[in-house]
Amino acid sequence: MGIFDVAFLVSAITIAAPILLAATGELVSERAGVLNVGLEGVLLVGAFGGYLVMAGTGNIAVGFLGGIVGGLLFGVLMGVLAIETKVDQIVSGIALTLLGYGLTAFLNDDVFSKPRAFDPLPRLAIPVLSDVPVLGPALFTQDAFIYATAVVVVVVALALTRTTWGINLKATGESPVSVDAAGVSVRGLRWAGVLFSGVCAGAAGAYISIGDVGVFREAMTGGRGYLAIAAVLFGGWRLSGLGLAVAIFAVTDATQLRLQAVGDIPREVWVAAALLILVALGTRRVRSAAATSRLDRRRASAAGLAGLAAVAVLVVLAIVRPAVTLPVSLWLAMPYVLALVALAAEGKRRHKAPEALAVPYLRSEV
Amino acid sequence: MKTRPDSGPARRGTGTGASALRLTGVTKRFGSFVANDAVDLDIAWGEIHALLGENGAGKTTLMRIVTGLYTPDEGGIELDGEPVRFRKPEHALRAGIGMVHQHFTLVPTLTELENLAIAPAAVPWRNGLTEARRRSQEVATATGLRITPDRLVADASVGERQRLEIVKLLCRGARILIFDEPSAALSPGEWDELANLMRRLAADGHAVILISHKLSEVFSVADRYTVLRRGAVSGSGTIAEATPDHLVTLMVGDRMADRPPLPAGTPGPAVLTIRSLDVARDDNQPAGPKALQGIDLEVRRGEILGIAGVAGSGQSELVEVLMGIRPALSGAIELAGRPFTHRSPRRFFRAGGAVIPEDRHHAAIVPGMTLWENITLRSLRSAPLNRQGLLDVRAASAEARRLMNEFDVRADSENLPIGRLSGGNQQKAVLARELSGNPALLIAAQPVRGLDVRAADFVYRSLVAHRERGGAVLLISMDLDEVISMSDRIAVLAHGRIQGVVEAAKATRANLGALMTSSGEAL
Repeated sequence: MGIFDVAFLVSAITIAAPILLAATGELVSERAGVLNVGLEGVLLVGAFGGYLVMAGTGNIAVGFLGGIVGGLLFGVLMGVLAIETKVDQIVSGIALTLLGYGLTAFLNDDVFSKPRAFDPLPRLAIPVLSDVPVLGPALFTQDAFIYATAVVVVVVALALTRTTWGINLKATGESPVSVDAAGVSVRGLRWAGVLFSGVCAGAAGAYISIGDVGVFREAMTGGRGYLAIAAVLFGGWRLSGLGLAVAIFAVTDATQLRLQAVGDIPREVWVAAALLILVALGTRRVRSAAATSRLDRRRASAAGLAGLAAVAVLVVLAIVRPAVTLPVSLWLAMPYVLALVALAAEGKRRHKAPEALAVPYLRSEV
Repeated sequence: MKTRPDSGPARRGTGTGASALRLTGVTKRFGSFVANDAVDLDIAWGEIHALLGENGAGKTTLMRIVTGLYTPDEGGIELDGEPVRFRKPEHALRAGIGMVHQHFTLVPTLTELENLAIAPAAVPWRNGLTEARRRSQEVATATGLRITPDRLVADASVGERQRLEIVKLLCRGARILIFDEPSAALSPGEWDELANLMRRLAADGHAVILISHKLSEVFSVADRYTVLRRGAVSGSGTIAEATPDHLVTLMVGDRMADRPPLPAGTPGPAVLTIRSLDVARDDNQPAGPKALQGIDLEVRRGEILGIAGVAGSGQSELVEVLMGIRPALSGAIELAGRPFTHRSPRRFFRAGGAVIPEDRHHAAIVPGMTLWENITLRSLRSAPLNRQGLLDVRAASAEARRLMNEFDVRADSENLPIGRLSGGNQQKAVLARELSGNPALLIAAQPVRGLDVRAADFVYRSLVAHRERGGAVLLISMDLDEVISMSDRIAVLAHGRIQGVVEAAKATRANLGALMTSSGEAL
């Protein structure tokens, strides 16, 4: 298996879980029409809140509660700015990010002159299921946070499709006027969305600090908040798409972690990249079969040619196996580059952003 | 309806004539502006009550009070003889008052059933879909209104959306239904259907309030009327005893002089010639359905050519093609005697075109910029306002003031943002800008939409004056009466084809309506 072994899967899932939870919260908030660009800041506050409370109490469960409270506080702040005072959501989001960075860095330096480290969350093996080869150790010998994340995602999926609350929430992001006319509180739903997003991001932040590694460092979330926002976009505001997007980011991130350690780029990386491009080309073909426009078709065939050329180059590289390596910083950039590509591809998606996303609701416009 | 125990007009029964909703002395002020001044309104069960008035007469404010969006400063509301107070829309909905808004309150990305399920959830995790389906079936058996539950609202036609909107209110137990300008988006056939439905609802014991400008509609369905003028009730009574003239007098106050019939014109040579124009509905799909097909048109000097047709018959595509915003598949256009082949908005204006766009707020003005900037927008590129690339602000302001005077734009200063002016003054400013260059061809798309009677009259007179000066006007309107009274000739557009061109003198609502529906087959 080379670098793609069970340990690789485990690390990918550990990387994916906090992004997935934060992105799920962001999805709920965006479906209600509030775009929280400050997710990165909320994650950081969650991470620091968890660390702070953990240092005070020594109990990891209470530590997570601290992270959630931190996230909730920032959620309240976002809610007040975006829903009550109707500030531009991009601006308030950037403010939240900067505040999160500054506040946690300042408090970390001032309150804790000595950094402390804790034991991360213990891994719990689920009986029977954990004995399944490959999947057992990867999926069913994980920590409580990962199981909780899975539960939250399933509950959100059910809530969005099977409950009145979910329908109201989706309607709020599309057409708040309609929701208001039906006698449902737009404010209430948006607050619910923002607070839920705060709780999710707070917990995810706490996992990044005390749950996974047991320490806090300045700006330790490293852009995961942005990745979560990108995942919501890439996933077309659907949970299934979001899951796929997070999986791609996590696998890329796990790969780059491995590759930093390995010197030369191993053969299977070239092969995997070639396979990925082939799969992408295949799905494109299926989708663009319906496209009748000449311009679209020409563009599609050009992209197809470029893809095939890339595959050919990758196959050659896999056979020759040149002794090349990339600087660590380039490897680190990989998931973010992918996020950029995801955002660029966004223009052609079937599912569009909620119509009223980031638009404050004023009743007088009924 | 009878199956539902909680409410329903059936139980309140056949006591038609009993008061359903009574407003007494309702007053609402916004600052020093009195939107509603001691309004009395009495609606009975089983009647269709027309609420009439000009724009800004206070109809909307009054209905917002009734539906709980505003609370009145003074006065009381009685429902079934009992005083009520609505502080939220939800309260009014619970009490059985529902409004079919002019702009539907539907979520296009959800299915029809999901739209019905949008409701305050007592228990957050309850699944309201089954309940909504059951209720919609009850409504279907009681009133014959059927919906397509699993279709996306985005895929439904305007008429179907309006039906869904009504079903939505009935599902929630509405007994008093308010229709705000319901015919604005409907074709004549759809309006007849809606009129029948309103009568049926009233016969079932519901109370129906119809807000409308169109007297023909009011006379065809309403039982009684109340007219508002400047926030106060100027008259009420039964339709059977009213005449259209009387109602217009109540709405407008002092009787406006009748618009003089269009004096016979002396059309000159053609200014705009369109030959066998084909336009695709979607620019990216030339092989797809067509928005316009085989259009042949001629607009002559000193002539107003009206385009009649229901909304969406291809009017906006025609304007966009002429202006060069949208490509044509085939066909030739001649403007001011020269072939107009390589089209772009700039070339259109340079060739002597001008346009009053349909969408005033988005296309005709820049709301945040000042009045003088908006008025001189078109002439800023050339002398005398532009001197070697530098703007002569003082000359531009002076020019704007002159045009404001000429076109009766009422504003304290030319430095006000145009967005703060009333709709009528905005439209006059647009007229000033478009007509100041003395264009050969003026395209006027719904030029009086949303204007009160006085402003509309001014727009009319400006168009006629332009025609007297030898200009050509292409007037696009959805209102048959407007087209008939304003045009020299009328081209009827339906389903993307010109169904016929009629001399205005010989045009009647009936023969234009017949042309509009003559070829109903979709393209």
